Amino acid sequence: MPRITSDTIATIRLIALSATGLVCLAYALFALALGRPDPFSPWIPLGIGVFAAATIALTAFAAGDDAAEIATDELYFAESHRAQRIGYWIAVALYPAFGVALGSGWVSYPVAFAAMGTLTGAAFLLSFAILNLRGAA
Amino acid sequence: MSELLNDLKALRAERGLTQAELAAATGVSRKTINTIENRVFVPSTVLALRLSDVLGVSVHDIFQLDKEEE
Repeated sequence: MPRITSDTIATIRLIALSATGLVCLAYALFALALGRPDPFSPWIPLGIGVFAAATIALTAFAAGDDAAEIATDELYFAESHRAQRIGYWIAVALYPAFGVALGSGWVSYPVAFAAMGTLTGAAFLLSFAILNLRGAA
Repeated sequence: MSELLNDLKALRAERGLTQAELAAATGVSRKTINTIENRVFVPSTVLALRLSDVLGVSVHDIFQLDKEEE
């Protein structure tokens, strides 16, 4: 069986978090476009998120402590913290944006609730993916 | 704020080390070494000291402040 390296963990982490972020973003966009809080089953973003977390954890466990430590070195924490900062401000910005949309009657409260929740998750996950791709060469 | 310059790529090449070998010697990922060399990422003091130890040079030989930016 081929050895699982720190690069493998990082690649699987990037794919898993990107996929979860894209599904969250798609959920929010479809919710807004269709004007309904359940454009597709809410179990899909939840299931993909849980599957992503389990896949990353199992890969790190199978790779061993040394590879897992290298995959979570200081560059990883720097990117993760920066993605958290970006995600935080996007989440804060959603409140006035949706406040205007709700006040104007463009969206209903259930749709806003669904879209804001999934956009908040997507903001961190996709920010991390973009930052992570910068030094991938 | 001053820009941080570095000669990591040249110093690594002089010693015949690949990015992966330098990464293994300092306990970080190859991507971390790559992003430092490309000035995308500024390493911590601890990692800078580890790099200087592995390369056998002073930290000041690897990293310099860009005086023109000041």
